[in-house]
Amino acid sequence: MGLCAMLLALVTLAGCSVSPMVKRASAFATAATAAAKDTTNAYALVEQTHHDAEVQAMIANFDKEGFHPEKIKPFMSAQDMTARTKILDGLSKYAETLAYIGGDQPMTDFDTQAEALGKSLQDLSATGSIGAFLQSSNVTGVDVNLATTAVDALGRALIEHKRSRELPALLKEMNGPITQICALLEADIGDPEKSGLRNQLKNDYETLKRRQITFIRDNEGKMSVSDKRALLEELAKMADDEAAGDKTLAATQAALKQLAATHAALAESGNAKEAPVFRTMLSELMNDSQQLQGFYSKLPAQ
Amino acid sequence: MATTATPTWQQAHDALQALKEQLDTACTDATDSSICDEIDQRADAVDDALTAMNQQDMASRTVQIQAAAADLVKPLKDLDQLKAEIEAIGNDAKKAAAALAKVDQIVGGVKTCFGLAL
Repeated sequence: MGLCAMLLALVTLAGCSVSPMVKRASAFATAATAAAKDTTNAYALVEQTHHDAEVQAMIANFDKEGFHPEKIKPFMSAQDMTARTKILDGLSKYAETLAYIGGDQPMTDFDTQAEALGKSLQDLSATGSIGAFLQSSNVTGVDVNLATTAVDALGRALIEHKRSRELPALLKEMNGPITQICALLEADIGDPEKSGLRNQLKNDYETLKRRQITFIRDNEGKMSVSDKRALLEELAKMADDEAAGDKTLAATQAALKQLAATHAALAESGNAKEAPVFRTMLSELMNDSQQLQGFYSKLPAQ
Repeated sequence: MATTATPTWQQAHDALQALKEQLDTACTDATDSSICDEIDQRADAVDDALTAMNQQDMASRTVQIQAAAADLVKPLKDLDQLKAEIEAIGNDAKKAAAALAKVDQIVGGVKTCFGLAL
C-alpha cells in the first residue's frame, strides 16, 4: 500500500491536468476542420453555377446546334480539382489528428484500459488461483483499487507529458505548410473582377441573367403576364444568389487568411499558460466559420 | 518606331472583363430582342475566353498546390507518430490486463501439474 500511495502522490504532484497548449491545439483543430469544409463548399458552389450556365447555353443554342450534353464541361479540370481535394484532405487529416492528440480521447481510452487492468487485478485477488497467496501477503481489495488508480493517474500523466513536450515543435513544423496552403487557396478564390472562383461565379451569374433577359425579350409576345412575372422574379433571385454567393466566397477567403494567422499564433504561443492573441484570433475564426456554415446551407447550389 | 508590348495575363483579362460588362449591360438595357440576339453571340465568345483564362489561372497554381501537398507529408507523419506513441501508452495497460487474465489460468495449470499448494 505504501508504494501505491507514494506513486499516486508523486503523480498528483507532477500534475496531470491538460496543459493550456494542448487545449489550444484541440480548439484550433475544430476551426481547421470547418475551414477545410467551407473551402470544399466554395469549389462546389462555383462548379454548380458553372454547370447551370453551361446547361442554359445548351438550351439557348438548341435550335442551331441540337442536343449536345457532352459539350457541358466542368470549370475545373479533373487534374486541377484532384490537387485541391488532396490538399484539403491533408488539412482535414491534420485537424483530425490534432483533435485526437489534443482532445480527451487518449485519456478516455487510457481510462478504459486502466479499468480493465483494475478488473483483472480484482479478479486475481478475489477468486483466482493465486488469491490465497495475495491474501496471505496482506494485499487487500483497497490496495488493488489504489494501485489501479495510481496506474490510471500515471498513464494520464505520461500522455500529458508526451503531448505537451512534443506538440509545440510539431506545430512549428506545420506552420510553413499551413501558411502556404492558405495563401494558395485564397488566391484560388481570387477577386470578383480580376480572377479565380469569385470572378468565375460573377461571370456565370451575369451570363445566366443575360440569357434569361434574352429569353424574355424573344418570347414576351407569346407569354402571359403571370409567366413573364415569374421569369422576372427568377431574374431577381439570380441577382440575390449572385450577391450571396460572392459574399460567401469572400468570407471563405477571409477565414483562410484568419486560419493561417491563428495557426501562426498557436505555434508561437508554445507552452505559454496564457495566449491572448491566439484566443482572440480563434474566437473570430470560429465566429466567421459559424456564419459561413449558415451561408453555405442557404445557397441554392448546395 | 512604335513598339507593341505583349499585354500581361491580367491586362488581357481586364480588357475582356470590361468588354463582357459592356455587352451584358447593352443586352440588359436593350428593348429590341434582335439587338439582344446580336449581342448574345459576341458575349458568348467573350464568356468562353474569360472562362478559359480563369481555368488557366487555376491551373497555374496546381503545381504549387501539389508541392504544398508533398510538404504536408512529413509533418503529418510526425504527428501520426506522436498519436501512435500516445495510443501505445493505453495499449501497454491493455496488454497488462490481458496478461493478468492469463496468470490465473497458468498458475492453475502449474498447480494441477505439479501438485503445488500456493
